[in-house]
Amino acid sequence: MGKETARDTLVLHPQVLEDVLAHCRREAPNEACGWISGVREAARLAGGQAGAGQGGGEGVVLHGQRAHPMRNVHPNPVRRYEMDPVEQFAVMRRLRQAGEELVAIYHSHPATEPVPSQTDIDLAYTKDAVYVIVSLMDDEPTWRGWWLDCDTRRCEEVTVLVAAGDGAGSLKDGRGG
Amino acid sequence: MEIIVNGKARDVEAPLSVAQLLDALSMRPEMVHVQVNGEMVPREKMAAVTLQEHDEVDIVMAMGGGRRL
Repeated sequence: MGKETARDTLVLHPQVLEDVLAHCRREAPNEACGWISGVREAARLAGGQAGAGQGGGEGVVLHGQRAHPMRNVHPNPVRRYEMDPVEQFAVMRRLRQAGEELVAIYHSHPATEPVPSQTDIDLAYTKDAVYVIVSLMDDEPTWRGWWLDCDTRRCEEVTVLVAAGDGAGSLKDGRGG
Repeated sequence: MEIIVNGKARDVEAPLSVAQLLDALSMRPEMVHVQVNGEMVPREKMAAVTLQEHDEVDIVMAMGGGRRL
């Protein structure tokens, strides 16, 4: 942990993105939140490949394979989110049995950009999962991913790609759908 | 004594409270939610709950954010 860099990439299965966006739309104008589970792998990325930057290099590729919508239990869900801890425990146990892990945490910004707020950073206790923020401020949703850390104040963007079809082939990012 | 933390066996010195376990894991109580044998441990009781041999402790990070109220 803690070795993740800006070269890292989160690759979402298309069904995951569909589930996340549907959840965010369903909860609006409240903030939606949940987990994305999958696997992570260290990868040597070739130059020019997504997440590799110029000249390639080491990076972590996180594969988001399943979305786990959670209840937002914050008393002011229009402005804040707080995941239901009971649901978190239940999902954590399921993932443990399935051999999956938490790779990303998502929440929505119903009326603002998909950029972390100060509160998002202040409460970023989880340092080894990508924070995916979905914005619903425009007609079409947009999404971006971030490494956040409440202690170091880290706020660094992570490349988020959506795998086409079976997880291989063409990829698209979250800006402009 | 042996306890199970997030599914993995861990040897710890007894007596050990939940708060002491979190401290050993470099976690602050406000950062986490804890269940012991499936029962939620309120943050205000973490210092008072003493772990027993073979207890199953699950820890998840508290997750939240949003705009300033």
